[in-house]
Amino acid sequence: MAEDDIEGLLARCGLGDRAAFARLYGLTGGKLYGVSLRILGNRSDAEEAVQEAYVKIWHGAGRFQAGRGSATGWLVSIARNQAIDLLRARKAPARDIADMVDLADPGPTPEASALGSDDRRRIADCLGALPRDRAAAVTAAYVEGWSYDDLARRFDVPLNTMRTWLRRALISLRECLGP
Amino acid sequence: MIDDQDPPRDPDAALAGEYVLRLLGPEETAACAAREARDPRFAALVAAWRADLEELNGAYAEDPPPAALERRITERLFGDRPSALARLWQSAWLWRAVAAAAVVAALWLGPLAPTPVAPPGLPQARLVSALASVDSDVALVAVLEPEAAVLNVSRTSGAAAAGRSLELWIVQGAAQPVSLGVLPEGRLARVPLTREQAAAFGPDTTLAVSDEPAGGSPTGVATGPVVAAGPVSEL
Repeated sequence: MAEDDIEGLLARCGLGDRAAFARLYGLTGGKLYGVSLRILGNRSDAEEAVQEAYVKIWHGAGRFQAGRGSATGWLVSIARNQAIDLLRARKAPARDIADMVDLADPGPTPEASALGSDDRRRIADCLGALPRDRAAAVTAAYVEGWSYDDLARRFDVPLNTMRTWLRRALISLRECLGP
Repeated sequence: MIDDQDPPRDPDAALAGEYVLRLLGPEETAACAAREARDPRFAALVAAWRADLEELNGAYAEDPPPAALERRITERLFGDRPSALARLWQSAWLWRAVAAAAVVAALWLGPLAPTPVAPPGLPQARLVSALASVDSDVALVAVLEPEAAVLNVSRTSGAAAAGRSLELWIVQGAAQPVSLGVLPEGRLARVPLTREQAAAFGPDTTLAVSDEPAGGSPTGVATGPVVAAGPVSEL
């Protein structure tokens, strides 16, 4: 899907254009449902998260500003936050770490290898420069929406150790990615 | 391999990352959101994390949502209460505003002007848009005067904040929003449209008002929040 289209549709949603909202949903509903389903692991919760996300998107569309991130990235972040908040509220068990194939895989994570490349230092390169368990923890926090509790339990380290690991990993990543 | 045993050099870089990852508790998340709004340096860190982590979104597969979901969302957004327009039809100020707009039109044409006859091809019915929003008290009514290609706009409540301007926009069909200019401080305004805008003025038209710096958007696109919007209906 073309980013310009999504940005234009968002601008029109901000002006109260319901037809634009229908087109936006048509173009992005599958992605946002995929995000919610991955994080929540069941269809009825995923539907609830997507519904809340689009209500927020409609009301917040006029405030979206194209900047560093893409319009689609903004939509995904709303669905992701909504799904994670619902996951925490449900205290549903996250899937087992064995589902994370990249932990035992010596190559780049499947997500990382699927990413495009350009001259900029990408998050995949920078994750690849971290110790593998640190990179896996950051990836699981983002993609699966795992909390510190989930991460500590799954990586079998004390909660405070996990916090320290992850914060240091984030600082290293920021230095690698640049400002 | 990056040495992760160094002492943290920028704790804010980690905090902004934790905030974007949604690892913080509700209170910390709210505190970060507030800080993002008032601290440009922190906001830049947050924006950098959002943009960088966005690259991981490729991990999320698209999955078609159930067909009923879209209907539930649109019902929740637009269907579970009368539309702003429907509520406005029943309010006294709408009719006062329409009357005021008609008076402006009459004054403009002059007391002796003959009753104008719409040229062929232009819509005869009176086309009206009521602009409002739940988030602000700014509300307007706009009535098209098709023969003159003029929109008579009556601001019925709300006003621009000190040092700010209210800018009127028109969205027609699939086109990008076009500015119709900054609304004057007075309650009534005559806003000229192009012949094309007047001819296309109808159910596929949306009018909106955004809050902009004094004098209007410096970029030609709306930069501030939309404070009122509404579709066009036939009266």
